[in-house]
Amino acid sequence: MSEIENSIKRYVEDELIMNDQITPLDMDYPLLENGVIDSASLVSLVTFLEVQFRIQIPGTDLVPEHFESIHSIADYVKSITA
Amino acid sequence: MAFLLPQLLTESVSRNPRHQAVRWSDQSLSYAQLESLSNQLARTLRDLGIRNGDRVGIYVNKSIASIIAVFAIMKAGAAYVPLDPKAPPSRLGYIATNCGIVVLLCSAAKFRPLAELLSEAQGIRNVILTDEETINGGEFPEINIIQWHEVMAVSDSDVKVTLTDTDLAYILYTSGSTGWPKGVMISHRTILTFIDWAVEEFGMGQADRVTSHAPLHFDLSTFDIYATVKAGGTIVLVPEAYSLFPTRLAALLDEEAVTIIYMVPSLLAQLTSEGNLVECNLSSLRQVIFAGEVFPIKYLRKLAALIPHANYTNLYGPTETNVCTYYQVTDDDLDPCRIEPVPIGKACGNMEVFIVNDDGKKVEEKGIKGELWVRGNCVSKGYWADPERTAASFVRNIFQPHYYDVAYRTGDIVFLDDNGDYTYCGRRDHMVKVRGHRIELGEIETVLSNNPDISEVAVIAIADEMSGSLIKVFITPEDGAVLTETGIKRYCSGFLPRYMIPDSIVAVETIPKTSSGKVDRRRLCELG
Repeated sequence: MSEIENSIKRYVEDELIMNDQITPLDMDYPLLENGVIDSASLVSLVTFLEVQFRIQIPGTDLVPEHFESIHSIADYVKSITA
Repeated sequence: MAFLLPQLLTESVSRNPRHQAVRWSDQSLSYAQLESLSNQLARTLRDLGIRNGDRVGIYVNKSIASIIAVFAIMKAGAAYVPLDPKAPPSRLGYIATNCGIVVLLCSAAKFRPLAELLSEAQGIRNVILTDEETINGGEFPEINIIQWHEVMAVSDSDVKVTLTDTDLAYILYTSGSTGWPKGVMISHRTILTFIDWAVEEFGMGQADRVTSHAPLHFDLSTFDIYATVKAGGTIVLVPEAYSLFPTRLAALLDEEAVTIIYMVPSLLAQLTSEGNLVECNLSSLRQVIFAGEVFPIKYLRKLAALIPHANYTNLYGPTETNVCTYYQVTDDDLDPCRIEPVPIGKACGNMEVFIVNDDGKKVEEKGIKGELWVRGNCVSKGYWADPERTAASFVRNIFQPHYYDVAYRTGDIVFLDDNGDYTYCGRRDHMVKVRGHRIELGEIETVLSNNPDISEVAVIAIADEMSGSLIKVFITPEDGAVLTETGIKRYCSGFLPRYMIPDSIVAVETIPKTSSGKVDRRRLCELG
């Protein structure tokens, strides 16, 4: 697992997961479908990503495909930082 | 003329069997298919022993399966009880036990949390899976698990329904101030009173394509499903994630040529500011309906400017009565100088509302505040297995001396304006709205005060434009206890649905009290 994936996984597990039953998180665990990411947490997640990876996430990139799982988020971050 | 909800489906099937009843992305069901699948599921339920009056749980994310499920359960003669897929198992277990659910419809996606739910709800004996995915039921030896392919093997011929319209169609659980939710009992007659009015008021027909965004446990969902089916239109399901991604929601409205949307104001506000509506073709959208909380006028104005050809209607009504008043927004209301939200309007057809003051007298003069009471068949049957709380809110209509008539006390304070429209002022208690969801602050307080590390707790709501309210908690820890904001939120999530998790938590030395010993909420609000 790359450093990007690791730091995203840690953030999601520490800050967004309320239910210890599903940690440690699977990289493909459906975060959106299971309500781990909701309107409140999406804002904090985006802020975390922008600060952590020194990127700017435009509104047009706020689409479900980029936030489905830790894997999706990592892929998206990699595509911006490339 | 239909007197039961499943008959709305049967009537539309006979008029136009091949018309699309429901759509989800690229999948769809025609009216004939929806009828046939719900017949198969209804027979499966009856074969499991479901009889008139039983309660069947639905633990499924919004999907085509959830639409089949509601009709199937009612055809089997039972009341459906939607379980919030995002609520913790303890809360769902309470609900399932409270109303005696013995059969649960569940999707494969919910199978992992199901184990926890089943341990909390010992009465559930049968689980029917609503996906084609087969699950190994080995982990649940005492539970009878029926796979979807078994349902598909059952006859799909019409099921004879012997209910009367006073029987329950569904039970919706809402926040209760004592710490546990209460189940609002809705009969077929109760909900049809609203549906019949809505279809006529909005001139709905087969050409209508109506989004269905609200989850099943939220009463807004009943318009999406039943008004559309009665009209013979098409239900366009909106994936729950789309509420987080307004551009995606806007694109869906465009691609699906949606004609009517019914959403909570906070979602419409997000759609307006972040949905990039200018890029979308929304020429088909003819009616925007909002309810559930106050819609800040500046967002309504902006939305109306972006979609000027649509009609805008505000609906009001607690879960206990579904919608009971309505107000059509006029051009004058959108005047740039207006700062107040629009009124809640006048009673819908076949419903009556009136204002009662603290002395128990009807208020008929304009401008005088009082509590709004509702009467008519739109008033539900009360709270499941809770005669005390039912009696407190569903009272004898004292203004009808000749026969027993029930009125529901909403707890909302309103007044009549110069145009004869009711205008909302506030609550008489501690109930607030967050993104349209009803929250009794007392429920959060009760849950927190049960935490052994918390000595005292007080919860207040701070008005927020986007979400309606932000929940702020003040706590005093027990001696020696170490509390973190994350820790407290985790604790709450073991009992409360996500939307009730506090937004901020502040530790204080003592909770300020008034001279009579009650929590001084005004002081807490000032602490800010």
